[in-house]
Amino acid sequence: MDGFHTGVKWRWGAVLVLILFLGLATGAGTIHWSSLFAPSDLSSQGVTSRLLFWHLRFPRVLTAAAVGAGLAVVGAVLQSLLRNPLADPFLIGVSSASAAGTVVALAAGWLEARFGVSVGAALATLLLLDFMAFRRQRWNDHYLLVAGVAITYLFTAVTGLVVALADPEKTRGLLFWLMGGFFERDALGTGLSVAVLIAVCCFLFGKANDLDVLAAGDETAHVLGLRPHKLRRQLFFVSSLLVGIAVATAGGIGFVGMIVPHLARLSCGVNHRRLLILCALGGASLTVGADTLARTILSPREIPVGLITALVGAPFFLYQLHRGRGI
Amino acid sequence: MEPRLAFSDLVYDRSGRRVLGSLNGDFRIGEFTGVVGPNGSGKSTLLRLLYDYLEPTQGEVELDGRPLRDYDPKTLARRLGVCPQEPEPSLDFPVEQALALATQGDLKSMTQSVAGLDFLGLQPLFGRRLSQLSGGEKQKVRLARAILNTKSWLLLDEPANHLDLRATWSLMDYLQSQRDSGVVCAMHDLSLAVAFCSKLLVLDRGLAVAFGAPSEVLTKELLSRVFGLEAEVVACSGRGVRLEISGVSTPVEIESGR
Repeated sequence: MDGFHTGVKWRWGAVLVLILFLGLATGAGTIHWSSLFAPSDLSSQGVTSRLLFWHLRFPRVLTAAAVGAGLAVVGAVLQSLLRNPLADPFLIGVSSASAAGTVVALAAGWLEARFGVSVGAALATLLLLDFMAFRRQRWNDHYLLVAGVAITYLFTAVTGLVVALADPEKTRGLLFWLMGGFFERDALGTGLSVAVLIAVCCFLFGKANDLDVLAAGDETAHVLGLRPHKLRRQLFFVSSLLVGIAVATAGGIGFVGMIVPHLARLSCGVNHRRLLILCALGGASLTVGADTLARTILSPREIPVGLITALVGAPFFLYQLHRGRGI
Repeated sequence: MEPRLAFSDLVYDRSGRRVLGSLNGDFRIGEFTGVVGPNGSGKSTLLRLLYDYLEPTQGEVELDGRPLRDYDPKTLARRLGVCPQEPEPSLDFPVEQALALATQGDLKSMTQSVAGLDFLGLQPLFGRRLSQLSGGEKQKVRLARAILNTKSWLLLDEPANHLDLRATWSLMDYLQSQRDSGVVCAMHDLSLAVAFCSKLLVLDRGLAVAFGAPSEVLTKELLSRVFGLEAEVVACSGRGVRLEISGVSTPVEIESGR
């Protein structure tokens, strides 16, 4: 059935469970599992284990899973909207705008306001792209891609300018944050990432059939009873929410939004109900796995997660292309 | 009230240039109307206005006395079965899934409906992906999706594109036999239109120059003036009328940018 059988999502689910377990079990310090659910255990070993697990490792893994799942799901949605396998939030300037917004907020010391600024920048960028791409009653994907690349350059320059002019004490932190990671996450970021991911995924699963129809082209979608422009705006809005929160929480983690939808499509075709599920599972797996590597391979030092996803993702992507499995 | 698809004072401008002039007309259930005319005469634009993909600069299209704009998109999609001319983006949908788009993803309902479309020869295509099909096979899938989705009107833009001769004639026979649906097709093949359509709407440079039965509207003078052909519609045994072309009468005028 469409090259997909129910085993696929269970396999992807099993991989995620394994990676989540590794992420929770691995890292600096030893966790004594028997103490985690025993608040009466007041030994230093038990207290340390609970602190390490519930206050550090579990929120970090949860945030990484939510951010990765969100980026992959947005990547799948954008690729379908633009009918372009290269589309991801980084390529069309949405992540760059969010990153610029977040850097401005962080440099100005508006720590909690960064989420709003980031989402606002992502939304403004998508609305601008939508305005530019909708010409003469027609949607033009090429305009959007070209405009998106230009916007990426623009906001990369804005980000660089803010970093260059920022207080030197903040510069290193900003640069490290820009490369993506979960070392400075906070409860607000975790809560928002998880809540927005759940809300947006529920919305998108409800629109899965519409996404299938939209992938067939605007005119076909129109004659099948869909109003593509209206749906596209709804999808842009929820995508900007996910990207804005993900970037404000974890900085620039690239490649997840591009490579995971490709791998998912190879497993399940273009049926969006299945595709979105696999993207959520695969995005979470990739990001949690990359974060686990980032904090363990050179422990106690950390490597930015964005570097790991790119270092692992790019060669893997090239290998897939070389094998002729296509994009 | 008799069901009909009507348009009045219909005008469409693109980039300040008039593509369709002030058109009036109506199509009725049980009729098979061919919209014919030279390349760039506005056939596809008229169909796009009829299925509400383009917004008219002026005028209105009405379905059963109500403007198209007043219809809910899903309701309109159930009333109008449409096969646009432009090919779809290259997709890797399996054939079944591409067809099920017309039934909101319901494969069972799609399979039941496809059973009545034997003349398209879809069964051998099941299990394959769109990217593995030839141009003609893809066109069959697109036509089937339009017909599956149709309840009262079929609006097909160049339906015979890429089809072999047998498939073309089977399709035309099917469309001609429809008594409970109104069929409107934009067609570049005048011979086919003459052989099968009960009515022709002839467009020339965005203007309607004739509307009626083929034998009445396709006069020698019109065929020469609009199509640049030395031709005439003649009666033939077995199948109504046919177009007999003896040559090209005048060079077809080419207007830049049309």
